[in-house]
This record gives sequence, structure tokens and C-alpha cells, in this order.
Amino acid sequence: MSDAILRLRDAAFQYDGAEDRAVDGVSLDVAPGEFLAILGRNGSGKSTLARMLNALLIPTSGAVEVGGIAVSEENAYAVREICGMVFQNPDNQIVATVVEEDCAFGLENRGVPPEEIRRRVDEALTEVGMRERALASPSMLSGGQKQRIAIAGVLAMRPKVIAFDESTAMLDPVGRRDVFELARRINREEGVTVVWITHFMEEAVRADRVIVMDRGRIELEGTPREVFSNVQEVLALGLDVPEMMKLARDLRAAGLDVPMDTLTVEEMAEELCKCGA
Amino acid sequence: MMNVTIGQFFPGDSFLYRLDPRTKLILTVALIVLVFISRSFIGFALIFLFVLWCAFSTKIGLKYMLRGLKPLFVIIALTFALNLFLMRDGETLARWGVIQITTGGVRTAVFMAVRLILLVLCSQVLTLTTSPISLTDGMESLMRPLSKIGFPAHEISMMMSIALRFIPTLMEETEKIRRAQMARGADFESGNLIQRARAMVPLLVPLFVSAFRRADELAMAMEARCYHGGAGRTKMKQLRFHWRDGAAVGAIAAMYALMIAFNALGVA
Amino acid sequence: MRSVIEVRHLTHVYMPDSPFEARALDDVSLTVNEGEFVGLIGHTGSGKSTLVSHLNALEKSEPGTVFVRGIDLGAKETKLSDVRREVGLVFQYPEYQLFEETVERDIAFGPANLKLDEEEIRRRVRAAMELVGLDESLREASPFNLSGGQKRRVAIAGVLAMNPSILILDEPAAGLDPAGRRGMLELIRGIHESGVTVVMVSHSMDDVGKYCDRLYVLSHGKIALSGAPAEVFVHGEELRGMGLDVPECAKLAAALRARGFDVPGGAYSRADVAAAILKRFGKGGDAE
Repeated sequence: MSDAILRLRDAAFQYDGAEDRAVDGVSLDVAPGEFLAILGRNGSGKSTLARMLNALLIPTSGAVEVGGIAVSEENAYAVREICGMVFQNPDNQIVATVVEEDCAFGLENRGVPPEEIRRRVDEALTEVGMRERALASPSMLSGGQKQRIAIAGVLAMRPKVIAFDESTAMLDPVGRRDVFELARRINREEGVTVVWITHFMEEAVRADRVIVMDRGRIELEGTPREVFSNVQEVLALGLDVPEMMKLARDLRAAGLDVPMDTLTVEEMAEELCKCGA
Repeated sequence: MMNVTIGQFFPGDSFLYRLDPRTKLILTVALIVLVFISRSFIGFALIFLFVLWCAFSTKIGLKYMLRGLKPLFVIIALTFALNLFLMRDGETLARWGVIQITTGGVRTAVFMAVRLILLVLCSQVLTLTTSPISLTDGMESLMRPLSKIGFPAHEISMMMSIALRFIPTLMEETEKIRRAQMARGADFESGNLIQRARAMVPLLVPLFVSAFRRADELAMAMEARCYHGGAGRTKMKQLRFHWRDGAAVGAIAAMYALMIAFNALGVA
Repeated sequence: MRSVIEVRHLTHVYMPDSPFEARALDDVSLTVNEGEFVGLIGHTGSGKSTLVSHLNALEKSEPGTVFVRGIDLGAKETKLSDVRREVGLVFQYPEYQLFEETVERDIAFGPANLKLDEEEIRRRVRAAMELVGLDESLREASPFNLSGGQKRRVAIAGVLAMNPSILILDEPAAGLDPAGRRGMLELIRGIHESGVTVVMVSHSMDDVGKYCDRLYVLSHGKIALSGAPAEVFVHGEELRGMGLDVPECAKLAAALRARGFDVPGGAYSRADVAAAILKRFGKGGDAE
């Protein structure tokens, strides 16, 4: 893949004073417009990997390229213009006391002319459905709404890639669904490449591709179907498997021939109807 | 806590609200100077009329503004009492041993109390009608010339705005931790001063730990959004002077002229 | 069955008579029986947290009464320490309340507040650590150097060391990775099996379906649904309307019923649904 927007070649990162490398030789290509989910238990290196994509961390060895630019100290701002990032805690990534001011923060940092900022902020807030709350105080918003503001702030900078570092972990089911659907829409409609780090399997199954990390390395990689079919392996890596796949495994063990890679409730119902027919 | 109105923003929309924050900052300072210049009650009446207009044109109301005096009540009362009992000037009205009340003392006591009250009311007009964010914007803009001589104007305003952003978050957090420790049997309410101070440890340690964690994460989020200090930064909202700023300056200038006239004519 | 918690017609209004007035609880009544594992479900802002605070006398109960083991929490003569000895409350992200230099001292905070003697405190700290699966060797460690999951265990141990007969947990698995989640829920199951009555607040239907005997669903400050999980999960549409969900297998059961399969209405666990499907195809246990 020569047109990859993210290209990692044996990328590694070791924190100062740490014995092991947090990311330990990852090679990966991400195509423009792809929705890539990264799974792995706590401490598996997912967040470290994401932070390299935004030049918050510079790889200690190997290479990371974002939109053709090598991640390094010198290129940090150029890299950040291409890859935006949304973090886990909604409270700790909002800078301003007014929603629209926060949304403008990144553009102000880049010295964009005021009229241009105004236009892009309005656009981004409309996109995330928060235009009516433009003058609200972030402290009056729900967790899901705060995350949407954070996304608007990143969107306003028109990045080619957005890395979401467990951005739904602290939300309730409604907020979680909201934020995930928003990320999907941005991916589908705007063609923004998404790197989606999560602990929620129901999100991962809707990605184009899933990688599972453990101890800084990629352990499994493929479409959600391919990855989750390895039920035992996935469980051993500290993750979960979609409930329907577990059911498929149980049914198959009892002698009922449903495909191993049945992911969703709808698929399962269809398969069972076929069996019944 | 809920009843303290001083320093609080009262959302609204009127002439005063729409003034440029820089104008308001400068004119508030001018108004405070005016309070000090005034040597007569008629001068105070003039300023009070202005405060009244502010209170009613903004729909804040005088009652709400007067609530802001509450926390300063002790200081005002003390000033009043000291002047009343210690000032000796004019006829003696009453006497208990060394303490005596004179006509001059009464006048000075009232004068000083009124002056303090007006100072508070005038500065309240500013804080009640200016959102914290535009206040910091105004300050940054006014301080900007100073950054040429190395004064960290941008940094100070960024710090202020982040502090404002996190005050509600940290208040909420304090309440959460307080409840969690109370559920573990902590007692924040009884005991002597030392016991109470010690009881704060289980509240303060987690609060600091959390504040540092937040600071850390916020710094990273800011960096991820290309923050690199004030250099080369633009602002979405540009502060612009309007005709109303001119009108406001004119009004204050007229008050100055009147005040100087009162003082020159020696009106009581 | 003897009830240990009785909530009767509880209403709670925040900032009454102000523009910010908010009705967090509206005529809520519920009962928790001795030895039960009760799930309390509702989306953010449904009033769960307020309700939970009432059960620990952190909020005052007015209109309405709250009884814990017969103690009226609203009565003037009620001693709060008596209530907090009975009811242990573990808040969301409890690891943020840790403050001591060592794990042992942090866990000892609660028992020390109960004015127990040192020998007893030591014994309880040891027992609590064992119950939450923390190794002896961590006693002298700083709680701030532990992993996220371990920190949470220390915080839970700190509540367990007060020997509550009723344990209330607000979203105990929030923010953990799937393995951590499983571990945490199994830990709570263990605590329940040791004889403690458990109330678990959660918005994961899969979790409450798997572990709880009985559920209360809160929506806009009212109890919207209650009953055994099977009774609650048949209201799929209503739950979705409240911003909640039903377990995946309950959805499958509904989808299959819609296609004319004979799946019992209350089936929501994987085992039950699988059994029903296998029966339909003449395979497995009961069919033979």
C-alpha cells in the first residue's frame, strides 16, 4: 500500500525509566478513509501508539509516518495538523469556558484569520449537532456532549485522521452510542480516517479492521469477523467476544451448524431461520 | 456560598453588557477614582444614581446588587464604628468616659461607609455584566503592550481562563470526595480546630492528586491541538470599539466634570 | 424474606424555588431483602446517584422515609455512624478517594473512624484485602503506585473493612478493560456469596442480567420497571426509550419470536436462549 495515510515500520516507544517498551515493534499501514479499531487490555500499548500518531510521543526507534510526514520533534506541528486526537476524559480536554471558544482553540493556535475561524467553528458545531449550545458553558453539558465538543474542536482543524483514545469509556450507553455514531459518520461522509481505541466489542465489530495489541505488539489483525472468530485467543488476551459469537460457539458445540463468525443479532436470527427452513 | 453575589456574572443583554470589556475595565477604574475624588454627599448621590441606572437598565435590580455587600458587612461596620467613636470634630453629641460621638464623627462615619458601599457596587457592575471569559480577554488585550517588555500577558490570561473553566469541575469533585469519605465514617464537622484541620487530609490529598492528573491530561490535550504559547496566535472573537463605548466614555467624563464642579463650589 | 432497606415515597428536589430546580427523585419506593443481589439501572441523570446517597444518609430524606434495618434515616435521634456501619457505599471510580501512604492505612481509615481497637482494625484490613484478592505483600505499598484495577480493589476493601451487612456499588466496573470487568464482577459475586446484601448500580444490562436477582429501573426520578431480570427485559422497547438496552441474547430471543420461533418470553441468558434454540432443532438436553 503506497498510498497509506498512516505508515508504521517497526515503531517502538519506551518511557523513561521503564524496563519494557510500551510499543514494541509495530508495523502497520492504514488506508485513507479506513476505520481501524484497536483493542487490547490496559497497558497493552494502545494509547502510546495513538500518541505517536499525534507526535505527542516521538518513536524511540522505527518509523511512524503520518500523511507522508515522519513523526519527529521538528515535524510535530505538521503532524498534528494532519492527525487530531480525542481523549478519554471529557472534562480534561476542554480548555475554554464557552463551547464555541473551545472549538476555536486549535485554529487560534495555528493563527488562522478570525473570520475563517468563525466559519469553521460554526460548521464544526453544526456537524456534531451542538450549534445551539455554542454559547453554553461546558460544565453544564453531559459527558457525551462534552465529547462532541472535543470532536468539533478537532474537526474544525480539518484533519485527515482522528485518533480516538477510549473516547467512549467514561460515557453512559446513550452518550457512547452518540459519540461512536458521530465518529462513524465523520468517517463515512467526510472520509476522515479513524483510529478507534476501545474496550467495547460492540464498537469494534463495526470497524473496517481490528487489531488486538498485547505487550506492545500486534497479536491479531483482520476484519472483525476474522479476529473474533478466534474466541479462545481473544479471551486469553483479556478481551471479550461479541455475545453472538459465544452463542454460535455454544450452538456449534451442541451440533447445530451455524457459522462461527456470526456477529450480530440479525445475522444470528437469519442463520437460524435458514437452519429451520 | 450560594448567596455570595460578589464577583459573579449575571447573564443578560443590554447596553452595559454589549460594551467592550476593555471599556468597562477602564471605566470601572475611572469610576472608582471618582468615588475617591468626591468630597460631598451630592457627589455620592450622583454616582449612586449611575449605579441605580446600571441596576435597572440591566434588570439585575438593586436588591441583587446589595446582596453583594453581605460578605463585606463586617468591614463596613468596623469602618463606620471606628470613625464614629474615634473622630473628634464639631459638637459633642454623646459621651461615655473617653468615648465620645461628635457631629463631625457622624458625618465622617457615614461618609466613609457610603464610600465603601459605592466602591463595592461600582466594581460589581463590572463583574455582574461581564462574563469571566470576556473579562480575561479584555485584560489580556489591555496588558498586551506590556508583553513587549516581557510581561506574560497571554500566559496570565490563559491561566485565568483555565482556572475559571475548572472551578466548577473541582467543586463537584470536592463534593464527591467529601461524600465518599463521609461514607467511610469521616467527620468533617465536629472537633476542635486541629482535629478539623486533620480531618481535611482525606479530602485534600485526593483532590490534589486529581487536580494534578487533570492538569497533566489537559496539557497533553492542549498540545495535541497545536498549542505553543501566545506567539502567532489569533483570536476568533476580535474586540472592537463601538459607538456605545464612546458614549460610555462620554457619560463618565460628564460625571467627572460635575464632580469637579461640586468640589470647586464646595457643595456639602 | 426480611427486608433490610425500605424506601417509601421518597422525593428529592435539588435547589427548590430557584431557576435551577430539579426533581431528582419523584415518589420512589423500593425494598431490598436480606441476602439479595439487586440491580439499580438508569441512564445518567435518572436519579440513581441521589437514591444511593439517601441509602447512606448522605442526603436528607424529605417527603418520604428511608429505613435501613429498621432505622429511620430521617429521624433526629438516628446516629449516622450506626447507618454507615450497616451500609457500605462504593462510589463510581472509588480509587479517586485514596489518600494514605500505604494500602494498609488507607483500608484502615473506615474501621478507625468506627473507633475500633488496633488489633481488630488489623484483623479487618487483612480480611478485607483477602476478600478483594489483594496480596499480603501489597500492604506496605503506596496505593498511588498500583494499577487502576488494584486501586479500585483497595478502595472497595476500605469499605468492606467497616464490615457492612449491605454493600452498595455505583458502577463498580466502569472504565475497566473487559478482563478487569469480569474480575470485578466476579469479586462482587464473591462478596455477595459471603453473606453481604448487594445493591449494584449499573447501566450494563448484560452485567445486571448475569448477576442480579432483581432489578429496579429508574427513569426521570421514578421507578419505571422492576422485577426479576426476565420480567424487566421483555420490555425491550420501553427500555430503549429510556436510553437503556437489553442483553444481546434477549434481543435475539425477541427477534426469533418475531420469526415464529418458540422461545420463552423471559429468556435472556445465553444458556437459556441456546437451550431454547437447541430444543427447537431437536438437539441437546430436554429434546431427547
